[in-house]
Amino acid sequence: MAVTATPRVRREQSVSGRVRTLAGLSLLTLALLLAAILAGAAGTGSGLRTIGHDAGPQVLATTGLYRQMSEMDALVAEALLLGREYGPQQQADLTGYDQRRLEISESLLKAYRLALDDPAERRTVESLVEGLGRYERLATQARLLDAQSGHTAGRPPDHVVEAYQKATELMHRELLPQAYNLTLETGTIVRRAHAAERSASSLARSAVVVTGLLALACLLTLQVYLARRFRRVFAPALVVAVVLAAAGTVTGTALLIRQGEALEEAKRRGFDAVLTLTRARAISRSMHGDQSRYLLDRFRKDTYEHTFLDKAHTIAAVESTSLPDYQSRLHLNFQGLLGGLTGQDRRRLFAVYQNFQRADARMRTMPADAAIKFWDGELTEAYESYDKVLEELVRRHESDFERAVDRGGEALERLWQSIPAGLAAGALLVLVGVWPRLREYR
Amino acid sequence: MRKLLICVVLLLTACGAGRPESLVDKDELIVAIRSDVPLISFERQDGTYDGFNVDVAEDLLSRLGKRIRWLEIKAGDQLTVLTGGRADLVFAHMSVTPERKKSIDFAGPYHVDFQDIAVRPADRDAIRDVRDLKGRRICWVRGTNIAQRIIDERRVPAIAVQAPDYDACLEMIKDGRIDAISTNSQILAGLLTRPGVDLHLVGAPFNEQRTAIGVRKGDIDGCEELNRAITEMYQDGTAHMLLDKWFGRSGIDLSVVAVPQFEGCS
Repeated sequence: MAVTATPRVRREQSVSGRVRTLAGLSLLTLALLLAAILAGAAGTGSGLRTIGHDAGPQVLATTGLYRQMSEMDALVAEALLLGREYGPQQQADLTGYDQRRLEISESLLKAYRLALDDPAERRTVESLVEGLGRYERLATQARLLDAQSGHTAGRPPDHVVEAYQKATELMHRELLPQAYNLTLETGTIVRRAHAAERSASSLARSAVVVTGLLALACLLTLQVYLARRFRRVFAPALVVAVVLAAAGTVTGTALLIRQGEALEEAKRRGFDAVLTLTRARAISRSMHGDQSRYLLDRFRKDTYEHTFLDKAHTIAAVESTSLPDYQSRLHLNFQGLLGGLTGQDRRRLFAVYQNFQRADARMRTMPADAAIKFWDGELTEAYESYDKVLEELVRRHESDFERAVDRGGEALERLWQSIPAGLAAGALLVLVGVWPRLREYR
Repeated sequence: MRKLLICVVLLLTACGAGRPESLVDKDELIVAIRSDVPLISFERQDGTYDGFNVDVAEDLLSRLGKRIRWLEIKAGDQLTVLTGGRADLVFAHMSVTPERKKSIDFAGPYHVDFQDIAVRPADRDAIRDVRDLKGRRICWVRGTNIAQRIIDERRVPAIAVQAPDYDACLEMIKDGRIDAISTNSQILAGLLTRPGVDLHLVGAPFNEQRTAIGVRKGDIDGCEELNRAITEMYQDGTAHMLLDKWFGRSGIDLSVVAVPQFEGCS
């Protein structure tokens, strides 16, 4: 008998040991599940913060820089073209110019803040601050010479144009490229942060599924073991724990997916779209400036016509060999920066853009004086209605962007409210379920 | 339990490989260059390469920590070496065009050049700017878009005469088969250094030529890294030094050396 007594004791010990091990494993996997869900939520949460609250809005601020600077230079050209009988309008241009300068300082400060840990980008901002100072000096000189000449509306005297050439050359060859590159570079920072966070959060999602299945497997094994060993059909507490673990896995995955989708939408439909549209708007402003410069500077007419065409290709590319060819071949299926637009937006924008290009084509066939009158009236109107449609599109995508960021935040909040409590309750129920069985071996 | 572990490991590794192939993942890059353009990229007698493009490529890739293997190409192969996967980068003094952007991407431009014209000294008073090329015969090197930019874009009715390379253009202008050679001012400056060449540089720059690096389509990471390196090259003065080294005595205007506006990587 003594021979059989020893294995019986060992068997009792091993039964309680197995129950303990299985219960411990269940608790461990539940803890892992919770950790995976929280890690995933923290990952996408920080992604949303980067795009929605930190870098994203700052990048959008730097995009403004290029437009504000092109506008500043275009306003100088306009003021020079207007001549003395347009006093009030010249004054309005000057006020606009000062306003742009203020906006530029703000954008530069934002860009500097964003570039704090990137020395190359910081140097770019510093060099822009320095260059803008030089630009101011040259522009003021041109305006002063213009005022002294007291010419009527139309092309100012050559020495005024020469003074302006120096200013606009500085703007276009040194300052605008740096402003443009700054936006590209900050866009790179956001794109990389987004890519890293996206791969981390898809990793977290798979981890949630795996740990969730592991937890369920452990709980079910525990359940089956207890049922066989102690001849009970099921332990109610453990059944509830299984249900809670399953619910935790499913809702955790669903909320993480939802949050990921919100992040993706904020990036693609919001951030990327706003970035592209703002770039297109900035380049369009510079095109309108090229029109004034074309009229202002008879020495460089050809060059300004050429840069106008280059920019038109960047915005809406169609196959063509020269500006008149481009303007006659322009069609709805254009490529380029605005090539990503679809449906109603595309048609609406195309109509106003084509109108702007048609007005431009007419301006270029007119004699100088008539062209300047046309530029001051119909051409500027055509540009403004095109710019207004672009601005509306930017606004709409900005609100899409904000909505997506909010939606991601809500998913995160719901996740915090429900899942940790549910899984903790599950863990407690595991203990409640095995406790009476373990007591039998005391 | 072990099976589950294997599953987890498999899942984890499957998520890591989402990024497309990029030049940043390689230690040694195949860089395509021309070997027949004086001052820009040419082969020395000892078989090594030298020139502005060669120096720029070496500087930029050392900033990325990469080794270089040179690949000599002809004009007209600039796109196919990339689309066919034979080179990782092309430094062939290529300007950015919408047409080329359909099949490759551009990092940079690393330099903004202008188009200029070279004529026989006897014609220096007759040809003063691009409009004076009306009715004149100009050289059109296969694979370049320079002649098209004069005739179609500028609407100057010049006559394009085909040539396989710029050496042939030099021959042709010497014996009177053509009247002018027009291309990037840097390339012209190089041609004028050839022994026995007696040409006059008109010095009326037109059309901006944005000289950029060709990279494979879709390699956004590589393109962004190159742009960062170009920014640094301009900020620390290397770009100025290299331009001065190669073109300081050529008569090209180097008063403004500033980082070009990038094309953008997407």
